[in-house]
Amino acid sequence: MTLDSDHELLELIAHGNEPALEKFYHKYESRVYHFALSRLHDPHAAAGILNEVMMEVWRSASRFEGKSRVGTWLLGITHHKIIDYFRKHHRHQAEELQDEPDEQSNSIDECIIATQQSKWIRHCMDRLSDDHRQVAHLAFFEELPYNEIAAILDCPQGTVKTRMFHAKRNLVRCLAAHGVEPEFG
Amino acid sequence: MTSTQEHPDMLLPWYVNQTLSAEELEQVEQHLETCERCRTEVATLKHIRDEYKQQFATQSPGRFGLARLKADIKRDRQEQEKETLPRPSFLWWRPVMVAAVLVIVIQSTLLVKMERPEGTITPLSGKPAAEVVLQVRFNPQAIESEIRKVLLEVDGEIVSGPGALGIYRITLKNVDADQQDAILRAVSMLKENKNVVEFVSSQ
Repeated sequence: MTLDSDHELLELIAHGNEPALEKFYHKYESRVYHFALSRLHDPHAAAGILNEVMMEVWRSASRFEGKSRVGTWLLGITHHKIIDYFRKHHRHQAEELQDEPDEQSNSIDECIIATQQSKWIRHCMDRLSDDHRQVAHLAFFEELPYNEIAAILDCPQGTVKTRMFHAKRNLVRCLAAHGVEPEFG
Repeated sequence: MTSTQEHPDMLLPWYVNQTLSAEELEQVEQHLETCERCRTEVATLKHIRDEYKQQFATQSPGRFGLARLKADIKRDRQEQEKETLPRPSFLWWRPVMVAAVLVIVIQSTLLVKMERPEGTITPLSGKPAAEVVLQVRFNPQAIESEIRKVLLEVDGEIVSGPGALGIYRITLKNVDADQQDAILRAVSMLKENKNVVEFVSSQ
């Protein structure tokens, strides 16, 4: 699907075309959901954010000005919805989780399938502060350039690079502390 | 971008996800040729990225999320329709309202009338004095001065008459109906003047 077709979808959505929203949803729901999940650690809450973001698209597709890519615009909306969620639930965005593996989130089957190293990578990613984790997620999972990440998070590009630098350093330290020895850092 | 002022390792995550500009890419590649530590870092970052993406490729809400979204959109539309639809016309119940008001007014009037006490209303200054009226027929031969003298004696006053039978109605001033002695005394005095009063009785 080309950039133009994204714009066309948004134009149709702005006119209340539900099938267009359905197409849009199928294209972007995974990205929105996983971005929210990476920061909230709660599938139920992440699904709620996804729903809110898509409702926002439904109500205000006409506000898309075309200054950025549709994905960037959409993840920007998601970012602000997550901030609202943190405010509403009195959660500190920058909280770092306790450095204990989340056994509840790993079923026995998952543990069997996943290698120990992979488990610790996820564990250490989850333990990053929200500022660091959001940048790492957008770089690793979304594979976005730093200027787009800056646009999504509404911050300077230098801030994105600095956050990524600290995220990388903390990630390596966490992995090293659990016996996964990266050779840099 | 001021990439020349920062160490190329700041750009390695974006080297890994292949989103650097041509200029930045060239700068990083040149650096990697001579930096063993950064080459290792690139390998590690690629490994972390691959593992993270693989683990994060969990199921998203998918069609369940879409169903939820559609339900919310439907609800949203219904609420909007409620807001935009004109309120039900008031014309049909206006006559009903007028009739209801009329009924209330009529009922109120009737209730006020029904609650009015029977008999006379007693003023706050006290119960009015009951008037004592006597029926008197004067002797046709009596002259005005004689009649006047008799009336003055009983403190009486002609209020009506003469009737068809020549009867006058006389009230006794300063005498109430319950002052029977005073009334009898006045009647007696009138009867004593037979040359002036032919007939007298109390009502």
